[in-house]
Amino acid sequence: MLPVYAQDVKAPDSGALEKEPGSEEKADLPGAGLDVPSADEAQTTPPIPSPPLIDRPLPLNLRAEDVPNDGGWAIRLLWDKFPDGDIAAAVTNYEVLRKRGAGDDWEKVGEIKAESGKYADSHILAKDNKPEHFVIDGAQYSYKLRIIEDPAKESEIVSAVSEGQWLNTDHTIVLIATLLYVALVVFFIQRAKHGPKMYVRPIPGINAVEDAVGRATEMGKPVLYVPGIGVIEEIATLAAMTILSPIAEKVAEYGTPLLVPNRDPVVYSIAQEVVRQAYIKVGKPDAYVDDNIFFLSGRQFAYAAGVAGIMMREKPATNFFFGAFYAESLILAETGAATGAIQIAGTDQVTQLPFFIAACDYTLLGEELYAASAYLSGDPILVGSLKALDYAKILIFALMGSGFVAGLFGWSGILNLMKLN
Amino acid sequence: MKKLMDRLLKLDRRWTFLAIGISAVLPFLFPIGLAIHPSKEVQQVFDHVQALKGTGKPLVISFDFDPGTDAEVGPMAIALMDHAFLNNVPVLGLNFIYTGTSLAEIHIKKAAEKHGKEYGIDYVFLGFKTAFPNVMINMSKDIRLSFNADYYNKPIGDLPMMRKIKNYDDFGFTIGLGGTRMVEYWIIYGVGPYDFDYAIGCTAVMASDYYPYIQTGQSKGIIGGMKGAAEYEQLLLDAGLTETLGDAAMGLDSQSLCHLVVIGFIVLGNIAYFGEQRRKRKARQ
Amino acid sequence: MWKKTIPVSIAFAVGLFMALQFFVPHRHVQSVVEEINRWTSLIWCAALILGTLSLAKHLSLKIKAKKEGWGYAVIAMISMIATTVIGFYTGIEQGTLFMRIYEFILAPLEATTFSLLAFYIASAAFRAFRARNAEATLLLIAAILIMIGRVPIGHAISEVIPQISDFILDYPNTAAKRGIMMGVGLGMISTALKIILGIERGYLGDK
Repeated sequence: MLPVYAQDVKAPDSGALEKEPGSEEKADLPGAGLDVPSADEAQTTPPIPSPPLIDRPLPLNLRAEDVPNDGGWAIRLLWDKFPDGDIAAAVTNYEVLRKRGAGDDWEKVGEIKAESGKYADSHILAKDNKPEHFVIDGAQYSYKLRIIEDPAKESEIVSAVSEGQWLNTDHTIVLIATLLYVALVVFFIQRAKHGPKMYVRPIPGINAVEDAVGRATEMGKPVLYVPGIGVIEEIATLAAMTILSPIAEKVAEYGTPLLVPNRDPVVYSIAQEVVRQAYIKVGKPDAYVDDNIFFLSGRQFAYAAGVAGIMMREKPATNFFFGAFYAESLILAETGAATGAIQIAGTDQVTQLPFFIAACDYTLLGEELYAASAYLSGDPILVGSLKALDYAKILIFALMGSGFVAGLFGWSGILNLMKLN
Repeated sequence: MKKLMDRLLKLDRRWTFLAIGISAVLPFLFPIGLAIHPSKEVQQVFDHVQALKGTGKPLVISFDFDPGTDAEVGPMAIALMDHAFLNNVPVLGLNFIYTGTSLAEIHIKKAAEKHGKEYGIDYVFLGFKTAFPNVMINMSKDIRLSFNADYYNKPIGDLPMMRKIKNYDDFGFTIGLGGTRMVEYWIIYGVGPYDFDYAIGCTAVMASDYYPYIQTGQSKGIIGGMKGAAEYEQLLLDAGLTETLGDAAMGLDSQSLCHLVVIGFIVLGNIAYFGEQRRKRKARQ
Repeated sequence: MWKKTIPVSIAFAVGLFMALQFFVPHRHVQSVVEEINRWTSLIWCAALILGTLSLAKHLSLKIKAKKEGWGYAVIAMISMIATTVIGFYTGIEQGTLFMRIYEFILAPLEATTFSLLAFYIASAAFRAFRARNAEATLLLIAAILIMIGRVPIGHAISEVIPQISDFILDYPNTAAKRGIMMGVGLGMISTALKIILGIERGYLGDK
């Protein structure tokens, strides 16, 4: 292999080894592009003195270890980072060699730049994704790094055993916080079951639901319920379904038509079942109209246009917008306002709240959407869970305060405790 | 006067629509040419893309927007690609929103044709991939773990440009363009664990949500909405890379006038409101 | 029992598993998670068929009863069927009729619908931004400052306006958003917990 002479190597940040795009692709052989004189030129031009060779570095402090907090089948190699501006390291690449047992041959599993300081040998890195190339848990693997440009140089051999972890220690703080919050919820639910009725502050939007449905009944117009454009996995959509249930019961009791256009087909199936059950519960199964709950479109703006069309034609007296909304929120709310409907909205999408506030009569902000089902049902157990939410917030304020003070005084121990890796 | 106040209070919304329509169209016929002052967030993005010149490393653009947000985010995509191609920086495109894949392909192809760039050497479009968290994790190891072939089903190995790109270490600068949270997911699944240079391009409404990422250094800048795109075009003009401003700057005159019209209506509405309140107070007295 | 107890039990088991898997990186657990995610996609596809049939039924009933706007229902029905047939017949690659429909009909329609926001914002702002009380006045002033500050005209009037606009966005706006997002995060955990524990059963149509 031709050595690369130091004088021919430019500084790394001008991308010496990277060819300009558009130029013909040449093999990345060392010495490529060197201006080697022809035989004729060699007789007439003076001899070129030999410059010193680059001493390509081997990795320092090479170690192999199991990748922490993973599912297994992975070992990582780490070595000390080379100093910034180290030209030799910048032009050095290693090939990673691995063997499993003492008698096995060394097998090349990958290549890595010397500068990177790390290499992960995992099943997702296996060249052709074939199981025989995977790192298997429980078996000892040995590794060494060989310099591609100078194959005579190899690192020491290091070994490790891979295993999967059953607990991700990086998420410990999240686990503690979650368990603490779950404990709070369970405590207040138990207290709500046996203790006195808990006070929760009134939310005007929720108090207005009954009046809004009554208004539609008096006017002989339908109620429109828009459950957002989110998928069922989104908590806001689930919250919208839990709110739909008591509203559908009220609507069924009053005998008012309820229209529920949906953007997601799974949400449509669930909404249909929720409304059907509501009619059955109030003893009016025959009044349920299957066609009033339907799938409209999977496209955001096609859905918005469709709902706007329904509003202009059917002229519902009451519009409910609960769930996850995005850019179409103002189109829906403003069209509803143009028809003179009373509108109650609730979303957890912070960017859409201003539009609902401007265009709707009542807006539930963020977490109030999640609290709505507790308010509407009046179930003391659900109200108890709201209390837990309030106390959790107090805990968070305390943590924020301590984090602020710790940051001011540079108490990194406390700050690192709350860091999520 | 009372009649005027009443009419103002009950103004038919169609008058506001007409006023907005006229103020949106007029600047295209009679350009105002307001001076554009680039913000430091857009300047930061510009500087990072400019620094790619001569390195051979690609500008990676994640085209995560659909036709609905194309008006705001499209011009910034075009400006970024113009910047890259004018500096002979390769462009690698990909996308995680299936509703915008074709649109992304149209944009990247148009930009490449404008600058006479060759597919596979100067630019590559990998197309749409589902399960973006896995893709972003895989790209930290090897992009081929998720993308065996490009959008046109050509094997990655056959594309000269892709031979030098293996993982995030080979990305020069990455920009997530979109009107959804996908721009944030790049930070959660990509920048956070693997720490590479990244910036956000998003709609104006969402831009304020992402300023905290600049404070933490996870985003090197933000191009917010059409204004951000116009600022980028201005920076290209100031740097002598282009000779004229683009679509975003043209739209900014229109946006400026529309904002003034909206403010005008708000002021009128408040005048009418206060007039009405005053009249009611007098009537009570 | 099969209508209430079994669904609630399934919700409990799957919900608890999906909550715990966040803390368990082992591949035996993560492979189950990946499988569940694949099944979610399959269920969505199956539900899409149901949804499409629902839309077709809804449109047909409207056309049959000649309700107000039934002509649009005819257009919607024809568009739906034609696009599906064209997609199957020509394929969905670039250059096919299907992609031309996307490029020249769907994309401009979506962009146009999105552009309606400009008009609606004006009418909503005119109606809603009235200085009724102190908070409304504060909202009004902030809205005007930001509207002027975010366009070049603000800088043309005074260099201070964009700075004030940036200040409002960077500090009070960000702080308020973070506060709401924290509440939303807690609310999400609370709602998810209630669903997993079977306390909240509204999504089943039960209280």
